Amino acid sequence: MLTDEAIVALYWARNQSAITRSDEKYGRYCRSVSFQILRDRQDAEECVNDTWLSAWQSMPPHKPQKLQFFLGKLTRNLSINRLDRRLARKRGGGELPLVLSELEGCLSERGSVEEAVDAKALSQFLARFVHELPETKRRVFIRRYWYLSPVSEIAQEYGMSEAKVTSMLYRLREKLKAALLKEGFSL
Amino acid sequence: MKEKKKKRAMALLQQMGELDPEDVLKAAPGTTTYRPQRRRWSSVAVAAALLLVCGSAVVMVSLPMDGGQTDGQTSGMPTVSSSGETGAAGSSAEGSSASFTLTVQLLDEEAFQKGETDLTALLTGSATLTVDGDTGSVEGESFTLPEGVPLEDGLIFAPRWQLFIAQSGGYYQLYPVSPEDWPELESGSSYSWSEAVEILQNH
Repeated sequence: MLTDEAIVALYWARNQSAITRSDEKYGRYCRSVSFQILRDRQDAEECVNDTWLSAWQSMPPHKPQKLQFFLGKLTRNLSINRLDRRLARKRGGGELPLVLSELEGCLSERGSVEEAVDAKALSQFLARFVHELPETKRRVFIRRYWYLSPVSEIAQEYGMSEAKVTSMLYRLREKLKAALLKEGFSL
Repeated sequence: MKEKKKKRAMALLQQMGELDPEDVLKAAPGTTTYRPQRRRWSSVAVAAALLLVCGSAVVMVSLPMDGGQTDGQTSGMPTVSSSGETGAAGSSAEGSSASFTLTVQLLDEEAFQKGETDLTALLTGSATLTVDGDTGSVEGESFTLPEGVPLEDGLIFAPRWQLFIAQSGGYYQLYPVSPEDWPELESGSSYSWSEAVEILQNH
């Protein structure tokens, strides 16, 4: 298998084998990310195909240091958008409605939603907040809010009861809410 | 209003896409395989042997101290031993593996989060705790009981925090189901209620 640098170089050289190599190395991971969110094999497959297209369009100018994360992030965003559209058509939104309702109270309101929050500052703050959590809590938080995994799966994988995962997430959200408020983040 | 809330939540969810790459990859589904903790039978065997030898001496020593207590234990009250079995405190560690139920008082964590700290006001309900060996279950949720937790009616349980609170002599002993989630807390230590409140608020 090619190194990440070699695959990125193929994208930059506009060599279409970049996509085959990406799929060979990270296709399984991207399918897993997408399936976690969409819960539909066909939709996940289509989303991963969109990921390759998006990667093709993003490199250049992007030169990701962590190709797996970069591709995973593209897949996540595409999958969430697809799920949101599916939700709007009332076709079932998987974990998204639940996750959104959990996150609803975390960001306080600042007048109209059109007032854009400093997205970069917010994402940096979130990354720092999550990174500073203890290992298990960090993984559980990421599983729920990055991978959108159902509580039951997280509980099974980490050997916890669903009640424990739910309570852990609740406490983490409360902590996040307080930290966001303290840092003055609102939307 | 609802739409605004959803937009805020979606914005937050999207920004979470930018978490630390290492953190995200480490937490990928399938990267953690939970292995149940194995009981160290060798330690249990050594402890049992020691207790068999010293058992009568322990009984002799404990008899004159009738009414005396250690933190979180009341004489004669069933507790969970380090070998994971329930038995009467002060009795030998051969304590029988028993299945029984008791009523626990439920602590309202939501009210606590909203600022209520009066214990009486926080105890808004009760539930049945079923004990089977070192396993307890409340309302269908099972967990391993914390070591040393005194199993008697009136024990307080915080379901979301997965925390037991026992009362003894005006002090409170906190027993988390998962001590690793409560690094600031020494399971079974005694605190005044105001100290306990501080711990819970800072958690």
